[in-house]
Amino acid sequence: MSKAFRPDAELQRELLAIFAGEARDELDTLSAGLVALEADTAAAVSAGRVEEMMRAAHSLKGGARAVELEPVDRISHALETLLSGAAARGKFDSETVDLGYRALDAIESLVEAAGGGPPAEVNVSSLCDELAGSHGDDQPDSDGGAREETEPSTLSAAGAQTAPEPQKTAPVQDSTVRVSVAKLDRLIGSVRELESARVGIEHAAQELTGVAEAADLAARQYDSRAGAIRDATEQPLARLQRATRELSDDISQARTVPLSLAFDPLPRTVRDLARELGREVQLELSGGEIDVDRAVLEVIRPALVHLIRNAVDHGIEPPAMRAAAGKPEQGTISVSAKARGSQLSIEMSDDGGGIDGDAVKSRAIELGLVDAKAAATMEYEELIRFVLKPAFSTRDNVSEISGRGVGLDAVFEGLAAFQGLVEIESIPGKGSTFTLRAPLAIAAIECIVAQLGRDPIGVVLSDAVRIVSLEDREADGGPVEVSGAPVPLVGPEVLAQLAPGGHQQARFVIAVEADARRIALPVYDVLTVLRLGTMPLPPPLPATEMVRSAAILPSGEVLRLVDARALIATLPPAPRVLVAEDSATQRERARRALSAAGYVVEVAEDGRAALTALLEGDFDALLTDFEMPQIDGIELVTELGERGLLDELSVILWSASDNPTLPAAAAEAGADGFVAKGPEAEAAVLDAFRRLLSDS
Amino acid sequence: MADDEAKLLELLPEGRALRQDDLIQIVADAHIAPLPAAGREWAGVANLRGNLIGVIDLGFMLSGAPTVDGLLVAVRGAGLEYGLRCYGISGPRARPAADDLPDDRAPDDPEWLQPAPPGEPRVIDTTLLLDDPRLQAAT
Repeated sequence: MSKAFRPDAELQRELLAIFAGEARDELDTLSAGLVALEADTAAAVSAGRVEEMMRAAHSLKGGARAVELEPVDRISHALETLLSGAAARGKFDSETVDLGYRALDAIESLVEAAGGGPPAEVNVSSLCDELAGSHGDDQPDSDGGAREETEPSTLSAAGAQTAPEPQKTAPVQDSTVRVSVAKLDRLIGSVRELESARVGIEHAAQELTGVAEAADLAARQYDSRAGAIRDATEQPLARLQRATRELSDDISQARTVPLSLAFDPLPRTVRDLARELGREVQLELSGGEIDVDRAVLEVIRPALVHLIRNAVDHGIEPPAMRAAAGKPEQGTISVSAKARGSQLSIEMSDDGGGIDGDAVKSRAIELGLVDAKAAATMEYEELIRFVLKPAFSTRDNVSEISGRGVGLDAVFEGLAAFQGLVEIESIPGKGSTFTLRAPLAIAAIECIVAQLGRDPIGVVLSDAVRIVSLEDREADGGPVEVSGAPVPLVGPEVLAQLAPGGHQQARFVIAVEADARRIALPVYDVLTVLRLGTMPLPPPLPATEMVRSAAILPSGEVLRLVDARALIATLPPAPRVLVAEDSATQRERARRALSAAGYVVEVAEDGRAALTALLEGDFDALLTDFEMPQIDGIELVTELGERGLLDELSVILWSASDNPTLPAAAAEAGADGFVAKGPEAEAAVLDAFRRLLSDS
Repeated sequence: MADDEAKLLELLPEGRALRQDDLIQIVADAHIAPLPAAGREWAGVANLRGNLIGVIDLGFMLSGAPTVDGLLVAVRGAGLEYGLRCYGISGPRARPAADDLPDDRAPDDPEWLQPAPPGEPRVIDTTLLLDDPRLQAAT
């Protein structure tokens, strides 16, 4: 008789890792099945659904035996018994479903413990008795094996060492194989190396063609030799191009998984939380059939779980409160995914109470994210974005559910590494919508490759609005004119971070835009624009805001991609300017010029509206016309002076009048400057505000 | 030297070693791109066979002085792949017998350096190294 196969410790670890992935899929299937069965208690039990669950439980049992996890084997078997018994009766009551969930929880914690996680406190015998005894006749093992009862036990990582006899394995019926993500990642890395080498060879071949052409022109005797080299290069290069592209496509395809894998934990999460918090929640899911890259799924999956916990915990109100507000007692959360081109968009909406703007404001002030004065003038839409800030939570006491102060910022960080983003819309009393945008696959994106110091740095082309040559002008730290508007430069501290060995004198600036603001990144040289596969920075590297992702250049060098939002975040808060102007055309011209220069602009159509706005809001500057209905510019400024509001307000008065006494009148009223309207007026206003606001 | 004795790889500067099992690759002319705000303990990020890896400056971790030039030693620990920047590899070493290992590590040594008999290099635990709090700081 041959000796029983006993995997060594290393193989056992690898097998456990494979089983953990398999178990997660099967548990998701079982969990989704239980939720569906519970929802259909009144209807006939779907034989197909039960069969699917039985298969999942059976697979779990087989996998557990292969890795010698006897407790999981026993619970899975008992779960099969529970399911078959309930199916035979044609009834899945809530007690059966609860028992099923307890089995899934136990299996999950046992698998985690076996993989080195915290010890699982599971009374296996007792649970198996409940599963097999209370709702089903104890069925014999479908593999025909006798079951041996053992004492109640707990299991830790070390507890996975028991060695049952080898089991018969089911015949392989699936045409797929399970490949570890780590192996796929290594394959992807090899493909990137090939791609990188291919691009390098392409460049060299282009250069060679150039040399051949130059040689042809200069001295025809070199032509035949250069031509021969070129011909000898072209054919293998074409084969290499085709092979690498096909390999890249195949590997990328092998990494795709259905988005439904990210949806699988959601029904259970909603059910458990709703029950715990006394909510009634209906969950609607759509778009699970969309295929996404596994790396994207790994970011999306925890993000959705976190958002849905937030929606149940913070969004959906208790039934009585909903009824009092005229809403159905049962709240609705919908998760809808759509693929548009290469982009994935997932909207998670709830019809709950919306984000509490006052609570967000208080918490933001408490955390020092904004001062009370600035917060008082912030719009609701602006305020609610604070929930994406690190460690933000509006809960006074850290809750076990979603107020743990971690999560939404992590959602944002994870997506940002893939050039994705999170958008929030919320209407108080009506509900909230979080939209996650991410690429469907880790596709190549166009990057500007620039030189700042010794190492290249990159900017995602879509973040850049313009590249400006400084020519003879020196970037002296002041703003640079981009498309007619001054754009502030990235500060020296940030440049020192990006080029710690020092950087050369800037010859260009790359103006980037995010959140409707612009900043100019000075660089020594703009080398090229390349389509590159970008990757998030890998663990164990700590998360950094300025560089969240990188790519590999054809030379093999690493290109760090500078995050446009992080650059913008280094700017001081944008000054708030009120434009008081009765001419719609002038008002819009001024608004656009000031907005393009990075100011937050509000407008008033006459002097009285301007005064009201200034008394209610917190502005840093005022641009006011001289002649306006009701209250003119001089009267407005005088009134502000009498109320003591001019100390912290920079005021420019402008007029189309050629009355030579106006500048003096403006100064006497308390204005800081006067600008004559004309073709250069906006530039003069910007110049004056920049000077005044930097002085203040 | 028997194969089962040559289990360590001594690094330069001398006195520290890696288990050969933890070694992935030694790259002599690796390009390591610095990472803003990751802390000086991190030399940066490098390309290892088409994938990115974080690279720890071993010299800085041990002495507070950054490693200038040097080479990249790619290792695995805690299920992750990452790099160590050091001055070089001085060669294979036999692993001391378990009975020869002292109970206590040198007073100034971090937890990720295992105790070693006098004259023998202390072995870097590539999993414990990642728990060093200095590597967590980033802004």
